[in-house]
Amino acid sequence: MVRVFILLLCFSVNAWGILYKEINIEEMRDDSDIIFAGTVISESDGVVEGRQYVETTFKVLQWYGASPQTTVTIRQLANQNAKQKRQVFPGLPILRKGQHYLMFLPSKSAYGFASPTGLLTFTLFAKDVEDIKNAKASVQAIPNREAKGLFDNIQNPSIKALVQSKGLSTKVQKKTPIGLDLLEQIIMEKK
Amino acid sequence: MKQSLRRIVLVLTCALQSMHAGYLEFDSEDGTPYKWNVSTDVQIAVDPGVVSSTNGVSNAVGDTALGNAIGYYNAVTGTSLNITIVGDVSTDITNANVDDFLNIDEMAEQTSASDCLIGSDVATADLAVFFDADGSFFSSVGLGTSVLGIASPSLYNSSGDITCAYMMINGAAVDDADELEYIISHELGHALNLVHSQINGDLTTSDPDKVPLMYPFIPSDPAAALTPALKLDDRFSFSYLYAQDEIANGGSIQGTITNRFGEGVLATNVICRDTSAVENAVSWISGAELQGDGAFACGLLPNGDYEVEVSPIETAINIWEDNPPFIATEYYSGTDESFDPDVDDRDGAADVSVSGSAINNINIVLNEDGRLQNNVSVASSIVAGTPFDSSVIPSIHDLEYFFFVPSNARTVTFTLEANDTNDDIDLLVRCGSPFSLATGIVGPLYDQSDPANDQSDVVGVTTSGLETIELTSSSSPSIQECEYHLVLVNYTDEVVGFELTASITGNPPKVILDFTAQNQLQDNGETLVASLTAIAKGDRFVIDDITFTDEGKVGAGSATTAKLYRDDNENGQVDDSDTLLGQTTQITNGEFTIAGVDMYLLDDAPQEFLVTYDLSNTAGPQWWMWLFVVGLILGGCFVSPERGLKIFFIISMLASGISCSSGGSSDYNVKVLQKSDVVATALGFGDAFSIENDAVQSVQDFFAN
Repeated sequence: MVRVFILLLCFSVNAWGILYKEINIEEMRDDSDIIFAGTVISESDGVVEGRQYVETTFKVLQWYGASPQTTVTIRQLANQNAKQKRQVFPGLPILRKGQHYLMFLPSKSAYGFASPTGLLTFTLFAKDVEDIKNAKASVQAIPNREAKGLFDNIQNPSIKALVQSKGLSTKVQKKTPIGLDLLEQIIMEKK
Repeated sequence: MKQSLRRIVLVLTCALQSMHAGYLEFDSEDGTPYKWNVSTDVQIAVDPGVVSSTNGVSNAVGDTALGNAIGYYNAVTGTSLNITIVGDVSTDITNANVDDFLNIDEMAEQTSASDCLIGSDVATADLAVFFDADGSFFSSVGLGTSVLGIASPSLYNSSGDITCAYMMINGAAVDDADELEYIISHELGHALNLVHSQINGDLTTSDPDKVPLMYPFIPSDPAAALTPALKLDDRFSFSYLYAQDEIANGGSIQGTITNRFGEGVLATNVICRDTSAVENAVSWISGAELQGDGAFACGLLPNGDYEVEVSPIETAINIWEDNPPFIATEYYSGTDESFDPDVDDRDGAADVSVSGSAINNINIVLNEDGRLQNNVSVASSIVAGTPFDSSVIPSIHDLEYFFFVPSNARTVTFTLEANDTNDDIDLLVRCGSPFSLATGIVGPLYDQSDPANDQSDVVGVTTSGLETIELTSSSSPSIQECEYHLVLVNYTDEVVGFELTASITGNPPKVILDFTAQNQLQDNGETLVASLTAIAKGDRFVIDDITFTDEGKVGAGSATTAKLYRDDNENGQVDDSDTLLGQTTQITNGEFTIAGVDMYLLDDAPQEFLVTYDLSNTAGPQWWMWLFVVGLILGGCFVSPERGLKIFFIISMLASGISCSSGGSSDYNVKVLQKSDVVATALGFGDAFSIENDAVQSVQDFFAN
């Protein structure tokens, strides 16, 4: 068991220290140009203009906003670990093939880079992937950071009351399911 | 050279030698953190451009903020590390030329003096500050304005000294001078190789002066006061790298995080917090120096009473372990500390009193709330799902269960039954590592449309409240020897009570106890009377108590204390390397019980143990000596001199022969006579097992033979 852990530890050889600004769900929505629920269907990596990247392609299950797309591909900054495997820079969200996510993204840069807004992603869980299309899914994890302040200062009074009634006024509890329907209501209020 | 430096550190901090603070970069072979050489200044060269063209923050404001930030670190006592500004680089650093000044792609060993790019522009500089005035660098790599700054060491030399680093400030996100000073102070910590902290994050708005500078988030509320000075947690991390004397002389708490079998658990967050002052809190990542024992330490602790908490690492905090173990938060509970939740309330905390010195052996054993026993049902309830239109968003039970299926198991059956079998609850099962519920960075738990891609190996997902999964050698998947993990899902909008049972069939396992009689005086003054090889067959075992019977000529009657050691170095002798598992002074009729030994036996992996006696120094003469005296009296006093001489001679020879033989190995013959003499649990089969040694042979083996 210990040996397994040591192997894992040896993978990481470089890291960034990143300072984030706390962001609530409405700011996250407003700062994003692309919002969708989707499934990671492929991964690859490469180098462009001297920058290493990990590329992730989603099959879109539910698109929020104008100009819907059926797939979305993004690149995130990467480096190589001790085993020469390319990985996203530590601190950036790790997106796994087969996992379903609710994604908030900025517009892609000239070379296709776009990390999730606030470096925050939502992992979705549903018995059937079709349920996600109907917002019948729960948000089971917020993988990249403690969602401090995520549901603070929400303007919609009915949603705020619902969130508070679930004891989630300050942060999402990791093991407490949040309905995708709840987040969808907030997303749809984007002006 | 690296080794020499490390030895110096060890000498300075002998009381804290297993410690290190959080850091970004380390030698991946031995876990040693890189650090700046304190014998020379860390010299900073600064981007001459404006800090923020977006929000009108000038370069002069940046210089002031940087000077203040440097002051916080230079003010720490007990170190000769000094940070200075040597001037501006000659050119405004922008997204277009940033790679000419900063090594931002890899942490690498410096191979020439010119590798540190900034050094070619400002000859002596080894740390560059880049003001990305319009945020174009950050946006070019896909990062928005919610990322305020980035920093890291970028080069190190063969001695493990950091030789180059950089800091990048997102001008598009910086609002004002106060925020800038906070960002630069935080990023300078990273450039010095400090890592994030995850404590007191709930106070960012209400009590920001109690939040560590290395906490990775700052409030978006502009009214929140920012206090960029180093807090206790920051000072400990910094001092671990650069002021070891300061740590060695202060109060500290040290211990380990282990599972029930004593295996170290790595990559958990350990927090030592003053019960009366929340700001007096220091955190550590267990086993962060790659120790197998899950060691942690908290230093620089002011006098007070502390709680010690272990909790999962947030992914954003952790930059060196993709998938930290999911654990439930629990506290050190003093004498109640145990894996057994019936003994150790995970929320119960025992105070650890600190008064200026090291408090050792504050060892936390993670609770095993979720372990299932063979054929023993657990009853609990799953929280309600979330109603949505006419459907329900499912909820997941907040405890993962697990059950060990041993090599002797032929079938395993998992049964989940709702109290009302009309309630739709599901059972997801996987073999091997736990499900990942906390991080969400692996595949989905269950995906009906693509089962090959989810975490589950086998599922019970009918629409009823009764799910049964049976695995055999011919099922798909087939039964495996492993720890099975179980997750429960509730598809109703009500709390659902349930019973969960795991059961196995197969040949009962056994423990073979192979005793070898000994009679050797050990260096510690005890007499080794038996060596014992214990082998588990067909399951893993935890042995709590053992009752031994000594049928040797001398036996246990002459002992004042009997002890059981684990022969850790397997040299057949009791020495400092071995572990004393238990001892007793209660020895009756050659029988004694060593209780609470907590012997853990893996399947088919022999372990060596040693049984010793403390032989009494104050005991009267042994029985053969009395015989000798009787012979002397009879021979000398009550018979004729001729016959008396013969009697004396015969009895004396008899006694002499007995006394000579008392040094032989047949003097002691330690055994376990019956199964009831061993209080043990087989992890899979529970109490369905047998014990075998010279004295005990299982019925099964009798027929098998």
